[in-house]
Amino acid sequence: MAPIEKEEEIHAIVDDLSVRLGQLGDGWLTASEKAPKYFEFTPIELYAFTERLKLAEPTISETNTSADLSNTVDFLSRVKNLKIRGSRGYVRSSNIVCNSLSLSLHHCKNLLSLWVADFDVSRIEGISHLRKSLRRLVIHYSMSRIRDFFVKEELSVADFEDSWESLEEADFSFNHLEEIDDSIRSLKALVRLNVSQNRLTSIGSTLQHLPRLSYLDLSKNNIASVSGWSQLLGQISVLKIANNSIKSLEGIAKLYSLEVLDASDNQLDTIESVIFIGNLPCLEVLNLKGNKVRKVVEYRTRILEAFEERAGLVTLDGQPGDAHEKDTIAVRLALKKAKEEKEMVDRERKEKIERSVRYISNCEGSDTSPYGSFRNNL
Amino acid sequence: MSAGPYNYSYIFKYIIIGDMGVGKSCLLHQFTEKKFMADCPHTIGVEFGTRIIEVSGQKIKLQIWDTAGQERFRAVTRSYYRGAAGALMVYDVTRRSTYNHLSSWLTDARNLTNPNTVIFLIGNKSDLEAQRDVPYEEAKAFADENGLTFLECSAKTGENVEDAFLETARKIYQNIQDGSLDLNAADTGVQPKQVVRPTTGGSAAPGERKECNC
Repeated sequence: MAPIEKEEEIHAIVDDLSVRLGQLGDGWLTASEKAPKYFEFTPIELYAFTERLKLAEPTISETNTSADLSNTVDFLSRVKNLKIRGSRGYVRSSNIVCNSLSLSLHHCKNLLSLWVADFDVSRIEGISHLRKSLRRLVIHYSMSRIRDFFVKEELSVADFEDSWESLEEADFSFNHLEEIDDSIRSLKALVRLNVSQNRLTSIGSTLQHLPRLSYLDLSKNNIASVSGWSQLLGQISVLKIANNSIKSLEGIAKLYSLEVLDASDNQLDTIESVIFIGNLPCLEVLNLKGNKVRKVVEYRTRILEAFEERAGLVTLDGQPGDAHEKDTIAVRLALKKAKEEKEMVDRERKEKIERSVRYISNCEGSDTSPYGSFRNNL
Repeated sequence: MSAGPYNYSYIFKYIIIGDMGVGKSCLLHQFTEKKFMADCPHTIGVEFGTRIIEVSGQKIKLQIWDTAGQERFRAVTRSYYRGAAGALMVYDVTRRSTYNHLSSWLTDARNLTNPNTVIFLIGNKSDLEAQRDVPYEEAKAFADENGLTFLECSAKTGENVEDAFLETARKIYQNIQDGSLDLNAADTGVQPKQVVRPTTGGSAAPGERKECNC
C-alpha cells in the first residue's frame, strides 16, 4: 500500500490528461460516434483524477491555462466505452502498487461499456452512477468474487436491490471466481453471461433470478455435475459447459429452451449418460467432442436416434447426420414404431378381454344374455 | 471534422451555488436532461453537466459545475469560483433561511470570481406557491440593489429554468461582443473553441494512446 503522497504528482498527471483531452477529446468522441471504440485509461490516471476532485483548488492550473480540469470531467462524463487496464506489481519504477489505487467512476454517467483488465475491481467506486446506462461489462483478471464489483460500502441495502436496468451482457471470463454469488441478482436485464475460465464448481442458486438470461458460458471450470440445472436456469438457449468434468447430462434433460449445447471435453463416457437430452424440443447443435462416449460403437446414430423424428435437424459434433445415418435411424425408428404399435394393439386387445370378462362376471344371473355382447366385442 | 454535436464556438463555464437542499442539482438535471429528478441525493463534492446552446446564432457549450451546499464542502466549493463565467446563485422560495444566506454567498462570489462573471439569482421551487416564504418583490429588490438578474424557477415543472441558463449566456456573450470580457485573459471562464488538429483517419496522432481498437 503506497498511495501517491504528493499532490504535485496528482496535478502533473491530471494536468497532462486535461491538456490532451482539451485538444483532442471532442474529436475522439465525435469519431467514436461513428465507429465505437474503447478509450483506455490506467488506474493511476483515474486515481489521480479522483483525488484531484477532492482538492480544494481551482479547476485551472496556475501555470498552464489549457490544463483545465473541466476537460477531463467533460470527457469522462460523455465517454461511452471505457477501458481500465492495470498491471501487476508496481507502477513503472515507483513503489506504488498499481492495484492498491482506488478510483471513482462517479462522473462517467453515460457509459455503455466498461472493460476492466488486470486491476482489482474492489478498488472501483462510484459504480451506482453506471446503473442506468451500462449495457456491457467486461472484467478479466480482476476479481475473485462477483460481489467485489457490485457491492460497495457506498451503497445502501436499498441501492443494492435496485437493478442494473440496461446491463445485458457480462463477461467475467478469466478471473478467479469460485462461485456465482447473490450479488448477480441485481442484473435483472442480463441476457448473456460468460463466466468461463474460472474456478466454479457449481452454478449456485441465483441464476434463476435472471429472467432474461439466455446465453451462459461455463466452459473451463471445475464443474462435475449439472444435477438440478433444469430448475436453476430459466430460458437458456445457449449453454456452454465445455472443459469441465461432467459425467451425466441428466440434470439438463428438462431445459426445454436449449438450442445449442457445447459439452465437449467432459467425462461423458456412455450413451446412457447423454441421451437424456433427446427430449429437448429445440436443440439443434450438440457438441460432444473430447468425450469417451465417442468411442462407443455406433455413437453417432445412437445419439441422433435419441432425437427420433427430429434427428435430421440436429448437428452433432459439427456435422449433421449423413444419408446413411439418417437411413439407419429411419429404419430403426420404423421398427421401433412397428414394435410399439404391435405392443399397443396387443395391450388394447388384452384390456378389452379383461373388461368383457369383468362385464360377464358382473352380469351373471341377470335377465339379459351376456353371451351376445361378449361375441360382438371380440 | 466539425460536424455533429461537438461543433461550437465557445465554452462558457458556470457554477451553481447556494444552501443545501435549494435544488441546485435538480436545476442542473432539469436543464441538461429536461427531466425532474425526484429523490435527488445530497451532492458529495461536485457534480458536472454540459449542454450546447445557441446564442445569437453562435453555438456555445456550457460546462456547469454543480457544487455541494453542505458547509463541510465549502472549501472545495470555493475552489470552483475561479474561472467561472457565470454563477447561478440559488435559494428556495419556501425557506427564508436560504434567502437570508444569500449575502454571504454573494460575498464569496464577488471575492472569488473575476469582475466580469455574470451572477444570476434564482428563486427555486416556484411551483410551491402555498408554502412561499420569500415574496417575489423582496428578492427582486435585493437583486436590483446588487446588480443581479433575477428569476423565479421550478426545477420540478421546468418553468424558467431554460431562461435562467440562457439569459446568463446571453449576458456573457454580450460582454464578449462589447469587449468588456477579454478573451485572452486567464480565468474568464470563456474559451474560444480549441482548434482540432485534423487526425488522419484515426491513425496515430500524438497523444492518441487513449484510443484503443479492441
